[in-house]
Amino acid sequence: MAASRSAPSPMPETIADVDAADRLDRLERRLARAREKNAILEGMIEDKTRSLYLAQQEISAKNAFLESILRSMDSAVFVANAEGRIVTIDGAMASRLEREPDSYFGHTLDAVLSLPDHTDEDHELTTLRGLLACPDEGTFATSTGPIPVLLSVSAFTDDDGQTTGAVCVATDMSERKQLEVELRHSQKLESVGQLAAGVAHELNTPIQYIGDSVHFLGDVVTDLLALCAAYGELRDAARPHADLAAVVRAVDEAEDDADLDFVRVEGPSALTRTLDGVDRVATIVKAMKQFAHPGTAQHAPANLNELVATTLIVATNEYKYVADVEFVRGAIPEVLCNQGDVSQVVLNLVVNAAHAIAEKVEGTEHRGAITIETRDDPDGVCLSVSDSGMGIPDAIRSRIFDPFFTTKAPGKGTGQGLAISRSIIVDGHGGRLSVESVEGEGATFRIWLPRAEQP
Amino acid sequence: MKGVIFNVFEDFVVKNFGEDVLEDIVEASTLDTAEPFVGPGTYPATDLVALVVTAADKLGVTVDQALRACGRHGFPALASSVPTLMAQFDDAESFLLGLESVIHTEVRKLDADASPARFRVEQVVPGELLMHYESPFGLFGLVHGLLDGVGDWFSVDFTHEMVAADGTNATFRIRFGEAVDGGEPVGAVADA
Repeated sequence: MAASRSAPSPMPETIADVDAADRLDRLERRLARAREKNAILEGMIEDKTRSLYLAQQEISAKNAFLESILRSMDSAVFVANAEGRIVTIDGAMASRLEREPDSYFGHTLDAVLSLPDHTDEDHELTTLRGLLACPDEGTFATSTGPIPVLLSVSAFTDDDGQTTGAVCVATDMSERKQLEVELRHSQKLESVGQLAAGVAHELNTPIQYIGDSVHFLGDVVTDLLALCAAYGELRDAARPHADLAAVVRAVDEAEDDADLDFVRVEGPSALTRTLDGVDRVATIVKAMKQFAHPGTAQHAPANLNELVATTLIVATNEYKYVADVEFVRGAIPEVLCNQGDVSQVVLNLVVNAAHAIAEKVEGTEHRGAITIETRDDPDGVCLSVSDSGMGIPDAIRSRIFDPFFTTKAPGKGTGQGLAISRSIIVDGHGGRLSVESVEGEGATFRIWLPRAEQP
Repeated sequence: MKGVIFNVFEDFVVKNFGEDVLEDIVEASTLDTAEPFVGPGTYPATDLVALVVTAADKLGVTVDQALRACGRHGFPALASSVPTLMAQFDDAESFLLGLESVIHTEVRKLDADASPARFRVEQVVPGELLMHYESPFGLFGLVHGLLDGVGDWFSVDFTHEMVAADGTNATFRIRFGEAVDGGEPVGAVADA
């Protein structure tokens, strides 16, 4: 502190002057020191004020940043204190609460969340301990009703490691739950499909020997009718002989009982119809087998026309009551594809077309038309499926490929068909899928697949 | 070390011995700090040691005695400067148990990077505390004086003794409900 001393006073002349001068010198030094203290303190106040301002700015910016993060979260974020009572609520989902978020402050989490049926008191939401031990699924009370939520609860601690509260993040599980339902449904359908494929396989052998037997019976009937004709000539030759009259009469009666004239006309045609039916069943069985077991899961060259024809047979029941199908087979090269996946896409498009037409012609005598066309195109091999159904409203055209989007009644459609189709064509094959539609007149879906060999 | 401690020392000397004695002590001490000490400032602890050693020499007491007297004198000033914080404590025991948070708040509010002395206080049994003092300066006499001041502030009798020390760190045992050591500003130090 010696360095802060002021300049010495003028030289004293007497002892009294010396004391006074020394006293004055001390006072001047104290005054100088007091002024210097003031200056230092003012500088410190200035520095601290600036630091405080900058710190407040920084805190405000960080606060705004954290708030924007919390607002951007789709979930609801609850912070509970050591008593398990809500102190803050954030996240976009907070706006779906029944009341203003602030009105829940001070309440325990059971005011907004409920857990599945439980008996374990550790899972009660009325204490911090229960909150930290709660299961990871619950129900969130929104203004439009309860929704399933995924719960993630984390404890936070003070510097001494003591738990002082918890953060609970509730995430909407509605879509996931729907996905699980659809997945279970898909798995069920897959099981049914596998069963159908097994049935088709089992039917194949009996259908073959039924067909062979019917062919054999046709030959037998032909031979028997020829034999009957010969017997008829013999009977006619015997008719003049009185001693054979009883035999001739018995033959006539037997011929009448057998309605041989009718059998002669209808028997062969019945057998022909039977053979046609057996052929159709055999064709369907073969198509089912091909559809269910398209071969390797790897991409391989395939004839798209044959693939479409097979799929049409499988889908017959979907369209035959509402639409006529025209398949225009183009002269196309083989495509490189996973046959099972592409068959699935064609089936989806044909079934969708049939449903669109059914919706339009329901309650009328009209039938719609489905036109399927293949052609070689500069972008690859193109398959188009056009229908004369209801068409797609402009308002929803951008959403038709979204997972779970459907306009069909509950239970009629999963909303996954077009999403899966696009995924198969675009992601799985590097192809393209487009749609054109005039509302009320119909729609055309086109897919482009890569050629097996580039031209 | 915070300037407020230097101010406590200055105030103690001025109040008890006069302005001139303080000036003499300052003049006679070799200090690293040139400017006056101000409360919010931070200064080398060696400067305080130098001042106290000079003061002890001039006043004819030991350094520990000087520090203890200074601490006892300074506690009311320190406590009065943070009335809101002190209002949180109803008695000496709860104050001592919360001492670390008080010191940290007061020191770090002015200098976030400061490394103040640490006072870790634990309750051994009801009515008895162990206070672990960690500081590179080892101003044990000052701690004794501050504890005396705590007793004065809360008007409570307790004894305190240093039960362990290693030069810079020390442990003090504080017992409530027993007579204090006479209550003198500079009395017999119950060091181990």
